Amino acid sequence: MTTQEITQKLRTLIEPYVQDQDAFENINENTDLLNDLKINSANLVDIIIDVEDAFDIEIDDEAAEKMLTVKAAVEIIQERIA
Amino acid sequence: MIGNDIIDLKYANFSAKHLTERYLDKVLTKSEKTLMQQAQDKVSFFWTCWALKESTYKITNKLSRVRKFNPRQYECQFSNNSSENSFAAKIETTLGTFQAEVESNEHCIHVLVNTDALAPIQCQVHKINVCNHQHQSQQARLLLKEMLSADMKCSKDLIELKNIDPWPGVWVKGRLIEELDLTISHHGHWVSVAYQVLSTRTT
Repeated sequence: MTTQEITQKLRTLIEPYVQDQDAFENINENTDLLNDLKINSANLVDIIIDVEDAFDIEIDDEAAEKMLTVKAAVEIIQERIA
Repeated sequence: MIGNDIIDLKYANFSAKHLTERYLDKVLTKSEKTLMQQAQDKVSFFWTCWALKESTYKITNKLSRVRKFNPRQYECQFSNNSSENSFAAKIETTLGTFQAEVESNEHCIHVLVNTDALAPIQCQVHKINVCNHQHQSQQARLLLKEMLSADMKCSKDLIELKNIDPWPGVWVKGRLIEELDLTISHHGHWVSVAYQVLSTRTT
């Protein structure tokens, strides 16, 4: 799976929790899930569960705590599906 | 140093799968899960734990300057009378133990964590009509300006709020008030703003 494919799939998973649609339209690897997309922190846990299911991977606490940007999330997914 | 969090119970329970075993395993420690099993109101217990962890994170984030939130590294401890609407709690973290005040009712749960019990705090919780992020943020900022304006006895037009990454800063009459430690939370139809009363006042 390419980085672009992972990012696209991640984008779809994140969308239901986004509270700033303008920032979502301009999403890029540096986009911050909390500060830019204004995703509620409790929904970060939802996203982690959704990502685990969508990519059939397990994200432990240590990885989950770093999943604050699109770039970090893509890297964590890449490491686990490799 | 202070940190707060507010949970709109109606909004929180509307939007998620928050009480599934899998979700709980990612948020609560073993002992918190045991306490939750014994709690009369499990939903309220869960969100109280979340608010305690989130409020404490706001302080540990300021202390460590590292943005990492692992809810399971924050362990909530309750006293026997914590079934009341207003009670104290403790949160154990790798950076130490923090004291919190919890207030809850059928609408919302509000937590305020304070590292200095002697330092006076101004704190207000308001209900708002529209619950989108932009409106919540505007209302929280307006509330903060009103509180500061009354406390400092100056017009709120002279108070400016700017984002200094990662926390907002307050300017009064063009001067940054560095002594001010503030914390803001909004969720659903509720906003909460708190700050520690300044030792050096701008009047």
